Amino acid sequence: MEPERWRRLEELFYAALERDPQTAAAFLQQACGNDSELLGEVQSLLNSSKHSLGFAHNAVLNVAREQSVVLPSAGKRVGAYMLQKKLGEGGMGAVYLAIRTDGEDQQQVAIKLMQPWVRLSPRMLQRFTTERQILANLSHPNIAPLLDAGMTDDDSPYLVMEYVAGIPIDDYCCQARLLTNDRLKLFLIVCAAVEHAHKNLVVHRDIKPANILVTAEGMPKLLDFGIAKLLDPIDDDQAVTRLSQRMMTLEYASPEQVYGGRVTAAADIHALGVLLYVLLAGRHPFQLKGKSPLEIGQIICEQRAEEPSRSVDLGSGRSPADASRSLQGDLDHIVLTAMRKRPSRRYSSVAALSRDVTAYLTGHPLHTRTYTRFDRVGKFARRHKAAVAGALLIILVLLCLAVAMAMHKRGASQRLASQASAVFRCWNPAVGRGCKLGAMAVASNASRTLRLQGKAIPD
Amino acid sequence: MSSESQSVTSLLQRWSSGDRRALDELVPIIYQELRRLASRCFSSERSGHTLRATALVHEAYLRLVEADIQWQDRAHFYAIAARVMRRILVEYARAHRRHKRGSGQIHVPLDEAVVVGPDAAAIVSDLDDALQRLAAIDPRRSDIVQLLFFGGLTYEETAAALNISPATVHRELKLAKAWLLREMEPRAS
Repeated sequence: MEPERWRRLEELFYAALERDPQTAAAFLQQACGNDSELLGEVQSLLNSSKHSLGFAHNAVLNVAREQSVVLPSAGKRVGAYMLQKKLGEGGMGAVYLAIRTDGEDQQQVAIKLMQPWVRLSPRMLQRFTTERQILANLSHPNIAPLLDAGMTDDDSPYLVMEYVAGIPIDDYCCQARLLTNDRLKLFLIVCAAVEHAHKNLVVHRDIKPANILVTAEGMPKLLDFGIAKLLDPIDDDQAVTRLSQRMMTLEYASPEQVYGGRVTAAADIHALGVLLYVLLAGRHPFQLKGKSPLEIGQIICEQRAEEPSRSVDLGSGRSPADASRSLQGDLDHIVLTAMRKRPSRRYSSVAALSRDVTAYLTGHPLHTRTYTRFDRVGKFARRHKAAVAGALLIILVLLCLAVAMAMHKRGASQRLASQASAVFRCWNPAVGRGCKLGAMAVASNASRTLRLQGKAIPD
Repeated sequence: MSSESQSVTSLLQRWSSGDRRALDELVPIIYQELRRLASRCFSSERSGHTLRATALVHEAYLRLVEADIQWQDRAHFYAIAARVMRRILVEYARAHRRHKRGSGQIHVPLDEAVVVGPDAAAIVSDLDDALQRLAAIDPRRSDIVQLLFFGGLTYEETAAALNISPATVHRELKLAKAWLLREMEPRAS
């Protein structure tokens, strides 16, 4: 409807409302003239205005109530399981500790249920299905496996996963006061789990300490593939990606996740870099406390992290000597390489990252770093401590021997020289003045002198 | 003041000074807060609150924004929250219709003194369609209904949010309601 006509309609509608019904009809007849369409329009609106729109408002309220049915509480039964307590709740669903009730073994499991409103959104249902598929395809000792899946009585899907009784990896390292090398070994196990996911074309997209629990046996387990993505070129649902990006944890997000770029395995490598930073330095690479999501996003995209060796938090179970000395150089390099802003400049794979960490642990030069010749020699020496020490010892012994021999030789020749000078002293014209000694006399003289001296030197 | 409230306030300011991207960031924040409040507010222990259902945007406001922001920013907040709430409810209603099609009416608790039509979800979906058509002709009238029905605001608050007098809200609403009713006629009768 053109604005002009709508204004006219509005004017007539209110003018008619102010009049009593009889005069209103006559007024409209006159005002509309031969525009019968306008007349009909105004009359139908006047007619409607006698009724209430309250039913529509109530419908809104009812839908509001209906859509927010709450999640079940402990004690409820889901399939063959009994919910025991809520472990955590997020935007899309909640995870419960539950127990299987039909078998002999009262196995504890974790059950993920959808928020009631979620189950009616096809997009969210799709995410849940994807998570189920992803978990079903992953089988790794350090990934909490999917045990079962099903539908609740009211048609809501649920996932049953292994219950991991553990604490977040950063807390674990802190409580156990692990040394750098032990932290790295733990990190390598996490890398292996992520690498396994990548090999199965799955990007986790939400790697953070809260999703890596370490059991009492010191075994890390990667969990929550809730916003994981299949690296499938066909599965490129931008809306789902954006949604997932809103659900992830900004603190461990990569720049491309923040600005909504293409998210690949490199995003997980970035998150692993941040994780390693946190494990080694005992603090997050950036000061994010009290910052808004917007500011956090900006920091992640633009600010360069300080080397972990320079920002060690000593309150985090790190011994100062162990921390800063061991981080400088190689570990700083590994962490900052994994955390580079541009995905293409990070490690090309989790395997490459693991290789460098392993190289550090075994004292080999990193694959991604250039060294001076001096550093290389130093590394070689540290790597082969015993051999180098042995070699140095042998060299030292040989040197000593050589010196001793040289000194010995020098002593002998000095003796010879003094003998010679004694032999020939008598031939000195100043000593044997006036006498004319023949060659024979010198020789016999010498033999006597030598004999005398020989007696003086004990054999 | 929490960081959340700082961020919402600065986003509102950016938005009112013409930065359209600020809206993209505001919507998810408000969306999440409304969701969270909704699931708590409608839980059975608090069923007394159900009729204040859409007044949730008030609570969201109190949680997300510090008390003394500029009046205009406050109005903007309500406008966005009502829009978000509308989207949440309409999305749900549409999904529900698809889900329950052919399986009868939606469940309405008996203790609620509410007159419910044959299918609340269908009505909400139709109301949304009609509101969209109204917005094309007369955006302000569409906003008034959105704030009142989906935002759960009072007439006074709606007036304040739109920078008009409560009397104007009353007056404009008359035509808006008549028009919407006529558009939704087959269902209303």
